[in-house]
Amino acid sequence: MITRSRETRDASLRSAYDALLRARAGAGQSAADPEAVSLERILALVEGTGDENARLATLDAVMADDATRREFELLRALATNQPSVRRTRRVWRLPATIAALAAAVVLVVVIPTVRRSPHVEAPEPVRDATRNTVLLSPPTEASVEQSRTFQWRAVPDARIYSIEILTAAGAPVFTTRVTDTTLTLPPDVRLAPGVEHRWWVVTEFADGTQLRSPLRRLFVRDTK
Amino acid sequence: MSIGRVTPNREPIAGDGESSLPDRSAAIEQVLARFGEVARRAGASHGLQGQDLDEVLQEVRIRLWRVDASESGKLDALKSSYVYRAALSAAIDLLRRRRARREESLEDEGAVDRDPPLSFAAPASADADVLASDAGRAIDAALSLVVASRRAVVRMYLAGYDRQEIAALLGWSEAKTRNLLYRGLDDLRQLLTAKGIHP
Repeated sequence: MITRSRETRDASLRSAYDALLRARAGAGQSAADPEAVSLERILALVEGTGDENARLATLDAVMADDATRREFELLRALATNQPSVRRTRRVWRLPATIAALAAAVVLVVVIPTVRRSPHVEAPEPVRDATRNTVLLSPPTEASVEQSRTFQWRAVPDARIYSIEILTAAGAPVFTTRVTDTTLTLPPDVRLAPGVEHRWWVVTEFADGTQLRSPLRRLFVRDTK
Repeated sequence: MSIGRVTPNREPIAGDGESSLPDRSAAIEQVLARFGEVARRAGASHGLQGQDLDEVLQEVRIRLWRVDASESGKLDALKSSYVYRAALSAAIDLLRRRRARREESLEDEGAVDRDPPLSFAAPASADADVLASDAGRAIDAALSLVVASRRAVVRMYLAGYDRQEIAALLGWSEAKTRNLLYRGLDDLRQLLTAKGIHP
């Protein structure tokens, strides 16, 4: 018995769905509910604001109509620049004496430091550069199969990870944002064997700060 | 369509000295280049072409140059949050204008749409597409029976987005996204199989 892989079966579903959307677009038909695909609701979807059920309804309507999906895609692409405005709220419940001691330490240690450096500018939103994100795999020289899966060590309090794969010259080959610490490249993305790449992970925190890993080399062995 | 840059000298800024123009121009271009690059990378894998993005960035460029420089520090308003809001606002305006034109066109000329909403690379149609669109209609009918939360995720996946992109859009964990997606795809396959279609 021949069993098709999930990827193969998914690919045929995707192909058929894509053909449906194009056929509808060609016929000038729209399956989208006008209210669900108002620009305000699409904006709320890409910015992640508002009620989740409403966003899911909008997503459902957007993905059923190619013209609307194109509008969504423009806004989504722009929204990848969205600055993080959410701040972690920490409730301090220190006893008053400890808080007073801490304040005293700050006065003794920090103020003289600041006075010695009166013109220090506010730092870029990058955390301690010595706290590198640890990249685990693939190895710097990898087989084609190994080069499809990228793993790194979890960073405490990370909100999301951005992974970028670049050519040796620095041109982006593939980039995405994930919440997990593993990324498997989509089936249609293949890193060319015999060519040197670079990759790194940028960890983003809820308060908008970022932590960049070192850039790591990746050379996919040519199996020929 | 090629869109040029704003020439600063044609759009003088009140209260600004000549000497600061090159600095400001360079700063604006630097911010826009960085912003555009991020958006371009995100949209490239889903067929978004550069000209729409260029049109939005040109509008942002104009808005930045119109900022009254006499308010000191406004060009420090080249902060990412300012540019972000300006870009989203410009994009919404652009899309609204296109929707309005499309509606006018439909009213005036029946179902002929002379102004396609956005420029994407579109594959040529073929007989195989006709057959595939029949299967697509069956998929669409079956999807209407899938639970709403799974359906939206499955549609996004079928439209070419990967799990990570779905998770990022909805602010879900990878595990939650995978769970809903795979359950939704299983539901879809069962519904299609029940109709004698074996995807």
